[in-house]
This record gives sequence, C-alpha cells and structure tokens, in this order.
Amino acid sequence: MNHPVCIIDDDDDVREVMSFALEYEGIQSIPFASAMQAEAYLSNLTPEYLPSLIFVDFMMPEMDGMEFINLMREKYPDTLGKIPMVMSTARLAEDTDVMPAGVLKLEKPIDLDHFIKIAKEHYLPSVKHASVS
Amino acid sequence: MKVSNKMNLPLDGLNLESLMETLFYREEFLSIASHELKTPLTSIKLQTQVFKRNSSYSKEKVDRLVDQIDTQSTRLIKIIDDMLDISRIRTGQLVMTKTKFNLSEVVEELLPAQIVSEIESNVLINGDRERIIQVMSVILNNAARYGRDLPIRVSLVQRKTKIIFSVQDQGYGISPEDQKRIFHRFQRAVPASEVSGIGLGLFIAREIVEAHNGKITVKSEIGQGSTFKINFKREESP
Repeated sequence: MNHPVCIIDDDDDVREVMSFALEYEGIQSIPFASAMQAEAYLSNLTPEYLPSLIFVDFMMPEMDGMEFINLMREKYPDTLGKIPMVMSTARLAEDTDVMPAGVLKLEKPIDLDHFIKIAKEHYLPSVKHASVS
Repeated sequence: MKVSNKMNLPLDGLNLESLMETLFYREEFLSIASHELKTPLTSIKLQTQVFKRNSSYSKEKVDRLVDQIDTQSTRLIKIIDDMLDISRIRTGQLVMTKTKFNLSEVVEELLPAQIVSEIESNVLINGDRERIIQVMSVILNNAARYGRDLPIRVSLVQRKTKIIFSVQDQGYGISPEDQKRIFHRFQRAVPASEVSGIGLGLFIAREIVEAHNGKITVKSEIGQGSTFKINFKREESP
C-alpha cells in the first residue's frame, strides 16, 4: 500500500474526476470537500500514515487554500506542514502570484498530464496504509 | 469637466466617486466571472482529457463522466445567460412575453419536497412564465445557498389587489448596508470566496419583477435569516 495523495476541492465533479484519474494511474487518493474536513482527518494521522502530496484548491468557502497551507505549516510544522503542497486556482494570475514558499501552482482548467506527472513524482510507496473510513 | 464621451452618455453631473465605484465593481465582476466560467470548464476539460487518455472505461464510468459534462455545460450556459440578460437590460432589450398562467402550479413545481410551504391554489397571473420562474428560482436558490441548511418557509397568497410570494430562510442574514446593495449589478452580501456565483441573480430578478409592475424587497437581520418578498399587482380575474 502507498501513502495516498490528498485532493481538497469544494467542486464535487472536479474532485471526483481528479481522484478517478489518479486511481486509473494506480495512485491512491483521498478526496475532501473542504479544508476543514481535510484538517480534521489529517491531523489524526500518525506520521507514518501521512499523505505523499496534497492538492488544495485556492478558492473555497470557510478556509481557502492559502489559509490551509499556512495553517498546516504553523500548527503542524513537523508533520503535515512538511508534506509537498500544490495549489490549484482558477483566479487570475495576479491574485495568486505570491505563493507560499515551496508550493506549486496548478492552473485551472487543469492539464491532466501535468497533474498526473506531479502526482507520480511525489507519490511515495510504503508498506503501511492509512485506512480511510 | 468634460470627459471623452464617444457614446454620448449624459456625463454632466455624474459623480466621479460613483463612477470610480462602478469601475471598481466592473473589474471585480470580471475577476469573479472569469473564475465562475473556469470552474465548470475545469471539470469539463478534465473529463474530456480523462476520455482521451484511455477509452476503455466501463459503461457505468462513461455514463457518469458524460452526465457530469452535461451538468457542467448547463452550469456554464446559466452563467452566460445571466451575462446576456445584463446586456439586454442595459440596452433595454429584456422583453417580456406575457400570458395568463397559474402561478400556484409553477411554485408547487419549483419547490423541493422538504420545503415547508403555504401555497394558495389557483393564483393566476399575467406575466412572462419563464422569466417569473427565473426570478423564483433565484430567490429559492439563494435561500438554499445562504440558509445554513435550516428549514426554508415559502408562501404564495393573493390579496384583494396583489399577489405575494415570499421565501424565508434562517441563514446568515444580510446587514442593513448590504440589503441596499444586493439588488444592484455585480453586488452580493458575502465575499466571492465564500460562495460561488457572479452576483447578477437579484439584479436580474428585480428588473424582471419591475417589468411586471411588481416590487421585490428583503427584510433581514444578521444571524436571524432573511425574508425575500415579491409583490405583483393583481389583475382582474379572467
């Protein structure tokens, strides 16, 4: 089993098709409809079960992608804060020019090949598996 | 001060501050509209790319992808229709095709089963059926969107001189300042990042209601929810 790739996006269809595309490439994923849900789930994982990579949408209600990334880095600096993050965005380039350090930007509409390439590059094989309920 | 006026707009007396405000909201609108158009396009583009990458999916999966593309295309059309309506309103081309129809039946059809409603039967109105459905859908969708998933109450009653349609939610509520703004173009009571939509719905709704000599109003309190009310003048029974 492998460390999954997280997908956080409030658009149901986008989330579903991103997960499906990864699944088809043999990459396990965990989708979340909000940053709050993702934090609630991820913060309970022990380090050996942490995801390989997190895709998070920029524009979401309650907590946006930027807030989520900052929260992960401030609240969980040694665990979740160290996971590679990719922020997807449909906003105009100038709105998201200033990205947190080390965060990749994935422009919407998403190029599928590019998305899969990033996921493959970061997907970590492991013998342990985080159970998803 | 004379401003270059190629469109012969009556600029004399226009307040520079309000002009700047209009320009600011137009810029904001373009930014929101581009995001809203890109959201369904993101889904459609991903789905078609998934198809292109591999064509040997199960029939169930193919059906699911096609359904999603269909839904997202409809969403895209709705956004474009709203933008076209704005253009029609601006150029005075929003034409109403009025017929006499049973408004009670229309409202009953629009309501999801779980909504508490008090709908007087056989309320007849002379109006543009599709446009009135559009108005009521905007009001009902807003109640669902901002209503914090709490029960919504809908009523349709007729009095001696008027027909009253009202939708009451128990959602976030709208501040007195925002209540003045929400019926204007490109305005909404919550930031764009909180809820999707391009902020044209209530502006278009107001234009349609007024084209029927009606009036749309809101009463609201922060944290207590909102009540949107539409009054149409009642015409003589057929």
